[in-house]
Amino acid sequence: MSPSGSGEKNASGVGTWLAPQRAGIPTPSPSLVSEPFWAGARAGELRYQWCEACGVAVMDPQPACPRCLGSELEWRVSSGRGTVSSFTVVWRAPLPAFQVPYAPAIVEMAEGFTLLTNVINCEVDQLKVGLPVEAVFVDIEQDVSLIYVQPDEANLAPGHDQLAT
Amino acid sequence: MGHTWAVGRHPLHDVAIVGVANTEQARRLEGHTSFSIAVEAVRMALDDAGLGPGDVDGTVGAMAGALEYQLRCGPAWRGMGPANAAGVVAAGLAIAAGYATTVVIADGGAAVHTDRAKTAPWTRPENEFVMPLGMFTAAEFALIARSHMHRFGTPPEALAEVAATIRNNGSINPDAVMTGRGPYTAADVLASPMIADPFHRLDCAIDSEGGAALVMTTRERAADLPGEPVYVLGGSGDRFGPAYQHPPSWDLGGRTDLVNGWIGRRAAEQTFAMAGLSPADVDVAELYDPFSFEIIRQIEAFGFCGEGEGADFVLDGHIGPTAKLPVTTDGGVLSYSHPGASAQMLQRVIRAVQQLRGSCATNQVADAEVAFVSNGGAGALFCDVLALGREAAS
Ligand SMILES: [Zn+2]
Repeated sequence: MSPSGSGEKNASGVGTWLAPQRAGIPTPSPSLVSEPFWAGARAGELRYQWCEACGVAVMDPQPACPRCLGSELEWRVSSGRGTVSSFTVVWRAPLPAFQVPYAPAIVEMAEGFTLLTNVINCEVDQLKVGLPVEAVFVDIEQDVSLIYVQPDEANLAPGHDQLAT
Repeated sequence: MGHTWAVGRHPLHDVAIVGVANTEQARRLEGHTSFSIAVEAVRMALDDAGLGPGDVDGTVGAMAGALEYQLRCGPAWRGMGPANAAGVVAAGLAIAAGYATTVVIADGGAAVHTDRAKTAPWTRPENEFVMPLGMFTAAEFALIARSHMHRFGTPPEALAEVAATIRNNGSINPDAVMTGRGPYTAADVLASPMIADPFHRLDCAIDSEGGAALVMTTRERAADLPGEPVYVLGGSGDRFGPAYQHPPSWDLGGRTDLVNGWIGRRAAEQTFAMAGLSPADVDVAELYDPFSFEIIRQIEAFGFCGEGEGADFVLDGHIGPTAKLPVTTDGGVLSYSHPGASAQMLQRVIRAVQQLRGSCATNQVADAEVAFVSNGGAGALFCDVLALGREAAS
Protein backbone atom coordinates (compact mmCIF):
# COMPACT_ATOMS: atom_id res chain seq x y z
CA MET A 1 0.00 0.00 0.00
CA SER A 2 1.65 3.17 -1.15
CA PRO A 3 0.53 6.51 0.21
CA SER A 4 2.49 8.28 -2.51
CA GLY A 5 -0.35 7.18 -4.71
CA SER A 6 0.77 5.59 -7.94
CA GLY A 7 -2.05 3.16 -8.43
CA GLU A 8 -2.86 1.52 -11.71
CA LYS A 9 -3.93 3.85 -14.47
CA ASN A 10 -7.10 3.26 -16.41
CA ALA A 11 -7.63 4.01 -20.09
CA SER A 12 -8.09 7.73 -19.50
CA GLY A 13 -4.85 7.93 -17.53
CA VAL A 14 -6.60 8.43 -14.19
CA GLY A 15 -5.21 6.45 -11.28
CA THR A 16 -7.18 4.07 -9.11
CA TRP A 17 -5.46 4.95 -5.84
CA LEU A 18 -7.76 6.66 -3.34
CA ALA A 19 -5.82 9.62 -1.98
CA PRO A 20 -6.97 12.31 0.45
CA GLN A 21 -8.09 15.63 -0.98
CA ARG A 22 -5.91 18.73 -0.86
CA ALA A 23 -6.44 22.42 -0.10
CA GLY A 24 -8.98 24.15 -2.31
CA ILE A 25 -12.01 21.98 -1.60
CA PRO A 26 -14.92 23.53 0.30
CA THR A 27 -14.22 23.47 4.01
CA PRO A 28 -16.72 23.09 6.85
CA SER A 29 -18.31 26.05 8.61
CA PRO A 30 -18.90 24.57 12.07
CA SER A 31 -21.91 25.50 14.14
CA LEU A 32 -21.99 25.91 17.90
CA VAL A 33 -23.19 22.32 18.14
CA SER A 34 -20.68 20.79 15.73
CA GLU A 35 -17.57 22.75 16.72
CA PRO A 36 -16.33 20.07 19.18
CA PHE A 37 -16.41 17.51 16.35
CA TRP A 38 -14.23 19.69 14.14
CA ALA A 39 -11.91 20.60 17.03
CA GLY A 40 -11.57 16.85 17.55
CA ALA A 41 -10.63 16.37 13.91
CA ARG A 42 -7.84 18.92 14.30
CA ALA A 43 -6.68 17.16 17.47
CA GLY A 44 -6.68 13.72 15.85
CA GLU A 45 -9.82 12.54 17.62
CA LEU A 46 -13.09 11.26 16.17
CA ARG A 47 -15.54 12.71 18.68
CA TYR A 48 -19.18 11.72 18.96
CA GLN A 49 -21.97 12.55 21.38
CA TRP A 50 -23.30 10.14 23.97
CA CYS A 51 -26.53 10.21 25.99
CA GLU A 52 -25.80 8.60 29.33
CA ALA A 53 -29.51 8.26 30.15
CA CYS A 54 -30.34 6.28 27.00
CA GLY A 55 -27.00 4.72 26.13
CA VAL A 56 -27.30 6.19 22.63
CA ALA A 57 -24.40 7.35 20.47
CA VAL A 58 -25.30 10.40 18.37
CA MET A 59 -23.90 11.48 14.99
CA ASP A 60 -24.20 13.92 13.18
CA PRO A 61 -23.89 16.33 16.15
CA GLN A 62 -27.26 17.36 17.58
CA PRO A 63 -28.38 19.70 20.35
CA ALA A 64 -30.26 16.85 22.06
CA CYS A 65 -30.54 13.07 22.28
CA PRO A 66 -32.91 11.80 19.54
CA ARG A 67 -34.45 9.29 21.96
CA CYS A 68 -35.14 11.32 25.15
CA LEU A 69 -34.50 14.83 23.80
CA GLY A 70 -32.23 15.39 26.77
CA SER A 71 -29.61 18.05 26.24
CA GLU A 72 -27.04 16.39 28.52
CA LEU A 73 -24.94 14.94 25.72
CA GLU A 74 -21.36 14.10 26.53
CA TRP A 75 -18.59 14.24 23.92
CA ARG A 76 -16.64 11.00 23.73
CA VAL A 77 -13.73 9.87 21.59
CA SER A 78 -14.34 6.97 19.22
CA SER A 79 -11.96 4.05 18.79
CA GLY A 80 -12.05 5.07 15.13
CA ARG A 81 -12.88 1.51 14.11
CA GLY A 82 -15.82 0.68 11.94
CA THR A 83 -17.20 -1.21 8.97
CA VAL A 84 -18.14 0.14 5.55
CA SER A 85 -21.88 -0.34 5.02
CA SER A 86 -22.05 1.44 1.66
CA PHE A 87 -19.68 3.24 -0.68
CA THR A 88 -19.40 4.83 -4.08
CA VAL A 89 -16.47 5.90 -6.22
CA VAL A 90 -16.78 9.34 -7.77
CA TRP A 91 -15.14 9.79 -11.18
CA ARG A 92 -16.86 13.07 -12.09
CA ALA A 93 -16.68 15.49 -9.17
CA PRO A 94 -19.24 18.20 -8.44
CA LEU A 95 -16.46 20.80 -8.25
CA PRO A 96 -13.13 20.93 -10.09
CA ALA A 97 -11.29 21.21 -6.76
CA PHE A 98 -11.93 17.55 -5.94
CA GLN A 99 -9.34 15.08 -7.23
CA VAL A 100 -10.91 11.92 -8.66
CA PRO A 101 -11.32 9.16 -7.93
CA TYR A 102 -12.51 9.47 -4.37
CA ALA A 103 -14.78 7.19 -2.40
CA PRO A 104 -17.62 8.54 -0.25
CA ALA A 105 -18.72 5.87 2.22
CA ILE A 106 -21.11 5.25 5.06
CA VAL A 107 -19.33 3.63 7.99
CA GLU A 108 -20.97 1.93 10.97
CA MET A 109 -18.65 2.75 13.86
CA ALA A 110 -17.90 0.35 16.70
CA GLU A 111 -19.60 2.67 19.20
CA GLY A 112 -22.91 2.44 17.32
CA PHE A 113 -23.04 5.66 15.32
CA THR A 114 -22.97 6.21 11.56
CA LEU A 115 -20.29 8.30 9.88
CA LEU A 116 -20.32 9.72 6.37
CA THR A 117 -16.72 9.98 5.16
CA ASN A 118 -14.35 8.95 2.35
CA VAL A 119 -12.23 5.80 2.23
CA ILE A 120 -8.59 6.63 1.42
CA ASN A 121 -5.19 4.96 1.25
CA CYS A 122 -6.29 1.96 -0.78
CA GLU A 123 -7.04 0.88 -4.33
CA VAL A 124 -10.55 1.30 -5.72
CA ASP A 125 -10.74 -2.47 -6.11
CA GLN A 126 -10.28 -3.00 -2.36
CA LEU A 127 -13.58 -1.32 -1.55
CA LYS A 128 -16.43 -3.56 -0.47
CA VAL A 129 -19.39 -3.56 1.85
CA GLY A 130 -18.14 -4.99 5.13
CA LEU A 131 -14.60 -3.63 4.77
CA PRO A 132 -13.12 -2.99 8.25
CA VAL A 133 -11.74 0.54 8.45
CA GLU A 134 -10.07 2.88 10.89
CA ALA A 135 -10.20 6.66 11.15
CA VAL A 136 -7.37 8.69 9.70
CA PHE A 137 -6.95 12.43 10.17
CA VAL A 138 -5.83 14.62 7.29
CA ASP A 139 -4.88 18.29 7.53
CA ILE A 140 -6.43 19.89 4.44
CA GLU A 141 -5.35 23.44 5.21
CA GLN A 142 -4.47 25.48 8.25
CA ASP A 143 -7.03 24.79 11.00
CA VAL A 144 -9.07 22.45 8.77
CA SER A 145 -8.76 18.69 9.21
CA LEU A 146 -11.04 16.04 7.76
CA ILE A 147 -11.71 12.62 9.21
CA TYR A 148 -11.36 9.90 6.58
CA VAL A 149 -11.11 6.14 7.01
CA GLN A 150 -8.62 3.64 5.60
CA PRO A 151 -8.59 -0.16 5.57
CA ASP A 152 -7.95 -1.46 9.07
CA GLU A 153 -4.86 -3.64 8.56
CA ALA A 154 -5.21 -5.31 11.94
CA ASN A 155 -8.69 -6.51 11.12
CA LEU A 156 -7.80 -7.48 7.56
CA ALA A 157 -5.22 -10.00 8.85
CA PRO A 158 -5.98 -13.73 8.50
CA GLY A 159 -8.42 -14.87 11.12
CA HIS A 160 -10.26 -11.57 11.10
CA ASP A 161 -11.92 -11.76 7.72
CA GLN A 162 -15.18 -12.85 9.29
CA LEU A 163 -15.81 -9.13 9.61
CA ALA A 164 -16.07 -8.91 5.86
CA THR A 165 -19.26 -9.97 4.16
CA MET B 1 -50.26 0.19 8.55
CA GLY B 2 -51.76 3.38 9.92
CA HIS B 3 -55.12 4.99 9.34
CA THR B 4 -57.32 3.78 6.51
CA TRP B 5 -59.89 5.94 4.83
CA ALA B 6 -63.35 4.98 3.73
CA VAL B 7 -63.34 5.13 -0.06
CA GLY B 8 -64.93 8.31 -1.37
CA ARG B 9 -64.65 10.13 1.94
CA HIS B 10 -61.21 11.67 1.69
CA PRO B 11 -61.09 15.49 1.37
CA LEU B 12 -58.75 15.25 -1.63
CA HIS B 13 -61.64 13.70 -3.53
CA ASP B 14 -63.33 17.11 -3.56
CA VAL B 15 -60.69 18.65 -5.85
CA ALA B 16 -59.59 18.31 -9.47
CA ILE B 17 -56.66 19.25 -11.64
CA VAL B 18 -58.03 21.43 -14.42
CA GLY B 19 -54.99 22.85 -16.16
CA VAL B 20 -51.42 21.75 -16.86
CA ALA B 21 -48.58 23.08 -18.96
CA ASN B 22 -44.92 22.66 -19.68
CA THR B 23 -43.17 25.43 -21.59
CA GLU B 24 -40.52 24.58 -24.12
CA GLN B 25 -37.74 22.66 -22.37
CA ALA B 26 -34.14 23.03 -23.51
CA ARG B 27 -30.55 22.83 -22.33
CA ARG B 28 -30.61 26.65 -22.38
CA LEU B 29 -33.55 29.00 -22.92
CA GLU B 30 -32.09 32.32 -24.01
CA GLY B 31 -33.79 35.45 -22.75
CA HIS B 32 -35.50 33.79 -19.79
CA THR B 33 -35.14 33.88 -16.05
CA SER B 34 -36.51 31.18 -13.78
CA PHE B 35 -39.44 33.42 -12.92
CA SER B 36 -40.23 34.50 -16.48
CA ILE B 37 -40.37 30.91 -17.68
CA ALA B 38 -42.55 29.95 -14.70
CA VAL B 39 -44.94 32.80 -15.55
CA GLU B 40 -45.12 31.57 -19.12
CA ALA B 41 -46.07 28.12 -17.78
CA VAL B 42 -48.77 29.70 -15.59
CA ARG B 43 -50.23 31.57 -18.56
CA MET B 44 -50.36 28.31 -20.53
CA ALA B 45 -51.84 26.28 -17.65
CA LEU B 46 -54.55 28.86 -16.95
CA ASP B 47 -55.35 28.92 -20.66
CA ASP B 48 -55.54 25.11 -20.62
CA ALA B 49 -57.99 25.36 -17.72
CA GLY B 50 -60.11 28.07 -19.32
CA LEU B 51 -59.32 30.40 -16.43
CA GLY B 52 -57.63 33.77 -16.04
CA PRO B 53 -55.40 35.41 -13.43
CA GLY B 54 -58.45 36.90 -11.74
CA ASP B 55 -59.65 33.40 -10.85
CA VAL B 56 -56.56 32.49 -8.83
CA ASP B 57 -56.71 32.79 -5.05
CA GLY B 58 -53.90 30.45 -4.04
CA THR B 59 -50.29 29.71 -5.00
CA VAL B 60 -47.72 27.02 -4.22
CA GLY B 61 -43.98 26.92 -4.84
CA ALA B 62 -40.74 28.74 -4.17
CA MET B 63 -42.04 31.55 -6.41
CA ALA B 64 -45.48 31.72 -4.79
CA GLY B 65 -44.96 35.22 -3.42
CA ALA B 66 -43.76 36.64 -6.72
CA LEU B 67 -46.63 34.91 -8.50
CA GLU B 68 -49.23 36.42 -6.16
CA TYR B 69 -47.94 39.86 -7.05
CA GLN B 70 -47.58 39.06 -10.76
CA LEU B 71 -51.17 37.72 -10.90
CA ARG B 72 -52.50 40.46 -8.62
CA CYS B 73 -54.35 37.71 -6.85
CA GLY B 74 -54.32 38.70 -3.17
CA PRO B 75 -55.60 38.22 -0.62
CA ALA B 76 -54.52 34.69 -1.41
CA TRP B 77 -53.70 31.44 0.33
CA ARG B 78 -50.07 30.37 -0.05
CA GLY B 79 -48.76 26.83 0.29
CA MET B 80 -45.46 26.76 2.11
CA GLY B 81 -43.84 23.90 0.21
CA PRO B 82 -42.25 23.42 -3.19
CA ALA B 83 -44.15 23.08 -6.46
CA ASN B 84 -44.28 19.30 -6.64
CA ALA B 85 -46.50 16.34 -5.74
CA ALA B 86 -46.51 17.42 -2.09
CA GLY B 87 -47.63 20.84 -3.28
CA VAL B 88 -50.55 19.22 -5.09
CA VAL B 89 -51.59 17.52 -1.83
CA ALA B 90 -51.22 20.78 0.11
CA ALA B 91 -53.23 22.73 -2.46
CA GLY B 92 -55.85 19.99 -2.62
CA LEU B 93 -56.33 20.00 1.12
CA ALA B 94 -56.46 23.81 1.21
CA ILE B 95 -59.14 23.84 -1.49
CA ALA B 96 -61.11 21.07 0.21
CA ALA B 97 -60.95 22.96 3.50
CA GLY B 98 -62.08 26.21 1.92
CA TYR B 99 -58.87 28.25 2.21
CA ALA B 100 -58.81 28.79 -1.55
CA THR B 101 -60.86 27.93 -4.60
CA THR B 102 -58.34 27.91 -7.43
CA VAL B 103 -54.65 27.31 -6.82
CA VAL B 104 -51.71 27.66 -9.19
CA ILE B 105 -48.66 25.48 -8.59
CA ALA B 106 -45.68 26.55 -10.66
CA ASP B 107 -41.92 26.61 -10.92
CA GLY B 108 -39.25 27.09 -13.50
CA GLY B 109 -35.52 27.13 -14.01
CA ALA B 110 -33.44 29.23 -16.41
CA ALA B 111 -30.01 30.84 -16.29
CA VAL B 112 -29.24 29.08 -13.01
CA HIS B 113 -26.55 26.58 -13.98
CA THR B 114 -24.04 28.98 -15.49
CA ASP B 115 -20.71 27.60 -14.24
CA ARG B 116 -20.42 24.44 -16.33
CA ALA B 117 -17.15 23.38 -14.65
CA LYS B 118 -19.36 22.53 -11.67
CA THR B 119 -22.37 20.27 -11.57
CA ALA B 120 -25.76 22.03 -11.34
CA PRO B 121 -26.16 24.03 -8.11
CA TRP B 122 -29.13 21.94 -6.93
CA THR B 123 -26.94 18.81 -7.00
CA ARG B 124 -24.48 20.09 -4.41
CA PRO B 125 -26.14 21.59 -1.36
CA GLU B 126 -23.75 23.13 1.11
CA ASN B 127 -23.50 21.48 4.48
CA GLU B 128 -20.50 20.97 6.74
CA PHE B 129 -20.99 17.19 6.88
CA VAL B 130 -21.36 16.55 3.16
CA MET B 131 -19.68 19.24 1.03
CA PRO B 132 -16.07 18.77 2.26
CA LEU B 133 -16.50 15.07 1.48
CA GLY B 134 -17.32 15.71 -2.16
CA MET B 135 -20.92 14.64 -1.76
CA PHE B 136 -23.47 15.54 -4.41
CA THR B 137 -26.76 14.03 -5.49
CA ALA B 138 -25.22 11.27 -7.63
CA ALA B 139 -23.12 10.08 -4.68
CA GLU B 140 -26.04 10.32 -2.25
CA PHE B 141 -28.23 8.10 -4.43
CA ALA B 142 -25.28 5.80 -5.26
CA LEU B 143 -24.88 5.00 -1.55
CA ILE B 144 -28.51 3.84 -1.41
CA ALA B 145 -28.14 1.87 -4.66
CA ARG B 146 -25.03 0.09 -3.34
CA SER B 147 -26.90 -0.98 -0.20
CA HIS B 148 -29.69 -2.51 -2.29
CA MET B 149 -27.23 -4.23 -4.62
CA HIS B 150 -25.43 -5.72 -1.63
CA ARG B 151 -28.64 -6.79 0.09
CA PHE B 152 -30.46 -8.28 -2.89
CA GLY B 153 -27.77 -8.92 -5.50
CA THR B 154 -29.27 -6.30 -7.81
CA PRO B 155 -27.03 -6.29 -10.91
CA PRO B 156 -25.78 -3.16 -12.71
CA GLU B 157 -27.56 -4.49 -15.82
CA ALA B 158 -30.93 -3.86 -14.13
CA LEU B 159 -30.02 -0.23 -13.45
CA ALA B 160 -28.90 0.10 -17.06
CA GLU B 161 -32.18 -1.42 -18.29
CA VAL B 162 -34.13 1.26 -16.39
CA ALA B 163 -31.97 4.03 -17.83
CA ALA B 164 -32.27 2.70 -21.39
CA THR B 165 -36.05 2.27 -21.11
CA ILE B 166 -36.74 5.77 -19.79
CA ARG B 167 -34.19 7.45 -22.06
CA ASN B 168 -35.79 5.72 -25.03
CA ASN B 169 -39.14 7.16 -23.94
CA GLY B 170 -37.49 10.56 -24.16
CA SER B 171 -35.75 9.76 -27.41
CA ILE B 172 -39.06 9.46 -29.29
CA ASN B 173 -40.67 12.42 -27.47
CA PRO B 174 -40.32 15.53 -29.66
CA ASP B 175 -40.73 17.75 -26.58
CA ALA B 176 -37.88 16.11 -24.65
CA VAL B 177 -34.60 17.94 -24.24
CA MET B 178 -32.85 14.74 -25.35
CA THR B 179 -35.22 13.99 -28.22
CA GLY B 180 -33.54 12.01 -30.96
CA ARG B 181 -30.72 10.87 -28.66
CA GLY B 182 -30.66 7.12 -28.71
CA PRO B 183 -32.18 4.62 -28.81
CA TYR B 184 -30.00 3.12 -26.12
CA THR B 185 -29.41 -0.42 -25.00
CA ALA B 186 -28.45 -1.41 -21.49
CA ALA B 187 -24.97 -2.09 -22.89
CA ASP B 188 -24.77 1.55 -24.07
CA VAL B 189 -25.58 2.71 -20.55
CA LEU B 190 -22.91 0.46 -19.04
CA ALA B 191 -20.39 1.71 -21.60
CA SER B 192 -20.97 5.38 -20.76
CA PRO B 193 -18.43 7.02 -18.43
CA MET B 194 -18.71 6.25 -14.73
CA ILE B 195 -19.89 9.23 -12.67
CA ALA B 196 -20.47 7.82 -9.16
CA ASP B 197 -20.28 4.03 -9.08
CA PRO B 198 -22.68 2.28 -9.86
CA PHE B 199 -24.04 5.23 -11.87
CA HIS B 200 -22.77 5.82 -15.36
CA ARG B 201 -23.50 9.07 -17.12
CA LEU B 202 -26.62 7.64 -18.77
CA ASP B 203 -27.95 6.53 -15.35
CA CYS B 204 -28.00 10.17 -14.16
CA ALA B 205 -30.50 12.99 -14.64
CA ILE B 206 -29.77 15.68 -17.20
CA ASP B 207 -29.99 19.36 -16.39
CA SER B 208 -31.98 21.77 -18.46
CA GLU B 209 -34.28 24.79 -18.40
CA GLY B 210 -38.02 25.24 -18.61
CA GLY B 211 -41.22 25.97 -16.72
CA ALA B 212 -44.13 23.91 -15.47
CA ALA B 213 -47.48 24.82 -13.96
CA LEU B 214 -50.66 23.15 -12.78
CA VAL B 215 -54.07 24.54 -11.79
CA MET B 216 -56.39 22.94 -9.24
CA THR B 217 -59.88 23.83 -8.19
CA THR B 218 -62.95 22.33 -6.57
CA ARG B 219 -64.53 19.32 -8.21
CA GLU B 220 -67.73 21.34 -8.39
CA ARG B 221 -66.10 24.22 -10.24
CA ALA B 222 -64.18 21.83 -12.51
CA ALA B 223 -67.48 20.57 -13.86
CA ASP B 224 -68.23 24.05 -15.24
CA LEU B 225 -64.87 24.45 -17.02
CA PRO B 226 -64.32 23.63 -20.69
CA GLY B 227 -61.44 21.17 -20.19
CA GLU B 228 -61.26 17.58 -19.07
CA PRO B 229 -60.52 17.45 -15.33
CA VAL B 230 -58.34 14.83 -13.70
CA TYR B 231 -59.13 13.82 -10.16
CA VAL B 232 -56.94 13.39 -7.11
CA LEU B 233 -57.64 9.94 -5.66
CA GLY B 234 -55.01 10.11 -2.95
CA GLY B 235 -51.62 11.47 -2.03
CA SER B 236 -49.08 11.49 0.76
CA GLY B 237 -45.41 11.78 1.56
CA ASP B 238 -42.66 10.28 3.72
CA ARG B 239 -39.70 12.15 5.20
CA PHE B 240 -36.72 11.29 7.39
CA GLY B 241 -35.03 14.68 7.67
CA PRO B 242 -33.33 17.32 5.55
CA ALA B 243 -31.98 16.18 2.18
CA TYR B 244 -28.23 16.01 1.70
CA GLN B 245 -27.08 16.81 5.22
CA HIS B 246 -26.85 13.39 6.89
CA PRO B 247 -25.63 9.97 5.71
CA PRO B 248 -28.27 8.54 3.31
CA SER B 249 -28.15 5.12 4.89
CA TRP B 250 -30.55 2.32 4.01
CA ASP B 251 -31.20 1.62 7.69
CA LEU B 252 -31.85 5.21 8.74
CA GLY B 253 -34.89 4.80 10.92
CA GLY B 254 -37.38 6.75 12.92
CA ARG B 255 -40.41 6.07 15.03
CA THR B 256 -41.47 2.84 13.28
CA ASP B 257 -39.44 -0.05 11.91
CA LEU B 258 -39.86 1.24 8.35
CA VAL B 259 -36.42 2.44 7.23
CA ASN B 260 -35.20 5.01 4.71
CA GLY B 261 -34.50 2.24 2.20
CA TRP B 262 -38.28 1.82 1.87
CA ILE B 263 -39.17 5.48 2.02
CA GLY B 264 -42.44 6.09 0.18
CA ARG B 265 -44.00 2.80 1.27
CA ARG B 266 -46.05 4.34 4.06
CA ALA B 267 -47.11 7.17 1.74
CA ALA B 268 -48.07 4.69 -0.99
CA GLU B 269 -50.09 2.54 1.43
CA GLN B 270 -51.93 5.62 2.64
CA THR B 271 -52.51 6.77 -0.92
CA PHE B 272 -53.84 3.43 -2.13
CA ALA B 273 -56.10 3.29 0.93
CA MET B 274 -57.47 6.78 0.21
CA ALA B 275 -58.09 5.78 -3.39
CA GLY B 276 -59.55 2.38 -2.54
CA LEU B 277 -57.03 0.90 -4.98
CA SER B 278 -54.05 -1.42 -5.03
CA PRO B 279 -50.84 -1.34 -7.10
CA ALA B 280 -52.47 -3.75 -9.58
CA ASP B 281 -55.01 -1.04 -10.48
CA VAL B 282 -52.34 1.36 -11.74
CA ASP B 283 -52.26 1.79 -15.52
CA VAL B 284 -49.26 4.09 -15.75
CA ALA B 285 -46.57 5.12 -13.23
CA GLU B 286 -44.96 8.49 -13.71
CA LEU B 287 -42.12 7.85 -11.28
CA TYR B 288 -39.33 10.23 -10.40
CA ASP B 289 -36.08 9.04 -11.92
CA PRO B 290 -33.17 11.16 -10.69
CA PHE B 291 -30.98 8.08 -11.05
CA SER B 292 -31.88 4.78 -12.70
CA PHE B 293 -31.73 2.74 -9.50
CA GLU B 294 -34.39 4.82 -7.78
CA ILE B 295 -37.04 3.29 -10.06
CA ILE B 296 -36.13 -0.23 -8.87
CA ARG B 297 -36.34 0.89 -5.25
CA GLN B 298 -39.63 2.67 -5.76
CA ILE B 299 -41.46 -0.16 -7.49
CA GLU B 300 -40.49 -2.37 -4.54
CA ALA B 301 -41.34 0.27 -1.92
CA PHE B 302 -44.72 1.02 -3.49
CA GLY B 303 -45.66 -2.65 -3.78
CA PHE B 304 -45.58 -3.09 -7.56
CA CYS B 305 -43.32 -6.06 -6.82
CA GLY B 306 -41.76 -7.63 -3.74
CA GLU B 307 -38.61 -6.53 -1.91
CA GLY B 308 -35.56 -7.50 -3.95
CA GLU B 309 -37.69 -8.35 -7.00
CA GLY B 310 -37.28 -4.98 -8.72
CA ALA B 311 -34.30 -6.03 -10.82
CA ASP B 312 -36.12 -9.03 -12.30
CA PHE B 313 -39.23 -6.89 -12.78
CA VAL B 314 -37.37 -4.43 -14.99
CA LEU B 315 -35.17 -7.04 -16.71
CA ASP B 316 -38.32 -8.99 -17.61
CA GLY B 317 -39.53 -5.93 -19.49
CA HIS B 318 -42.38 -4.85 -17.22
CA ILE B 319 -41.67 -1.08 -17.22
CA GLY B 320 -41.63 -0.44 -20.97
CA PRO B 321 -44.19 1.86 -22.62
CA THR B 322 -46.47 -1.02 -23.67
CA ALA B 323 -45.72 -3.31 -20.72
CA LYS B 324 -47.63 -4.14 -17.55
CA LEU B 325 -46.42 -1.00 -15.74
CA PRO B 326 -45.35 1.74 -18.15
CA VAL B 327 -42.95 3.94 -16.18
CA THR B 328 -41.99 7.59 -16.77
CA THR B 329 -43.36 7.67 -20.29
CA ASP B 330 -42.06 11.08 -21.42
CA GLY B 331 -38.39 10.40 -20.60
CA GLY B 332 -38.44 11.86 -17.10
CA VAL B 333 -35.48 13.72 -15.67
CA LEU B 334 -33.16 11.30 -17.46
CA SER B 335 -34.24 12.65 -20.84
CA TYR B 336 -37.35 14.88 -20.91
CA SER B 337 -36.15 17.71 -18.65
CA HIS B 338 -34.75 18.67 -15.26
CA PRO B 339 -35.30 22.42 -15.01
CA GLY B 340 -34.08 23.25 -11.52
CA ALA B 341 -35.10 22.29 -8.04
CA SER B 342 -38.79 21.41 -8.32
CA ALA B 343 -40.38 22.01 -11.75
CA GLN B 344 -39.14 18.57 -12.84
CA MET B 345 -41.05 16.99 -9.96
CA LEU B 346 -44.24 18.81 -10.94
CA GLN B 347 -43.66 17.51 -14.47
CA ARG B 348 -44.27 13.95 -13.21
CA VAL B 349 -47.76 15.08 -12.13
CA ILE B 350 -48.33 16.90 -15.42
CA ARG B 351 -47.40 13.82 -17.45
CA ALA B 352 -49.80 11.70 -15.40
CA VAL B 353 -52.59 14.21 -16.14
CA GLN B 354 -51.75 14.09 -19.86
CA GLN B 355 -51.87 10.26 -19.77
CA LEU B 356 -55.30 10.28 -18.11
CA ARG B 357 -56.60 12.82 -20.61
CA GLY B 358 -55.28 10.66 -23.45
CA SER B 359 -53.37 13.63 -24.83
CA CYS B 360 -49.79 12.27 -24.98
CA ALA B 361 -48.27 12.53 -28.46
CA THR B 362 -45.94 9.62 -27.68
CA ASN B 363 -46.29 6.57 -25.46
CA GLN B 364 -49.96 7.21 -24.73
CA VAL B 365 -51.12 4.32 -22.55
CA ALA B 366 -54.42 3.08 -24.00
CA ASP B 367 -57.43 3.76 -21.79
CA ALA B 368 -55.35 4.87 -18.82
CA GLU B 369 -57.73 5.23 -15.88
CA VAL B 370 -55.37 5.40 -12.90
CA ALA B 371 -51.93 7.00 -12.77
CA PHE B 372 -49.44 6.82 -9.92
CA VAL B 373 -46.88 9.61 -9.43
CA SER B 374 -43.75 9.84 -7.29
CA ASN B 375 -41.25 12.53 -6.38
CA GLY B 376 -37.97 12.37 -4.49
CA GLY B 377 -36.13 9.27 -3.39
CA ALA B 378 -34.16 7.56 -0.65
CA GLY B 379 -30.96 9.45 -1.44
CA ALA B 380 -32.79 12.65 -0.51
CA LEU B 381 -34.66 11.27 2.54
CA PHE B 382 -38.08 12.11 1.10
CA CYS B 383 -40.64 10.50 -1.17
CA ASP B 384 -44.02 11.93 -2.17
CA VAL B 385 -46.71 10.06 -4.09
CA LEU B 386 -50.06 10.74 -5.73
CA ALA B 387 -52.78 8.63 -7.29
CA LEU B 388 -54.75 10.40 -10.03
CA GLY B 389 -57.83 9.18 -11.85
CA ARG B 390 -59.70 9.86 -15.08
CA GLU B 391 -62.86 9.28 -13.08
CA ALA B 392 -63.49 10.89 -9.72
CA ALA B 393 -63.43 8.76 -6.60
CA SER B 394 -66.92 7.42 -6.06
ZN1 LIG C 1 -31.29 10.14 25.61
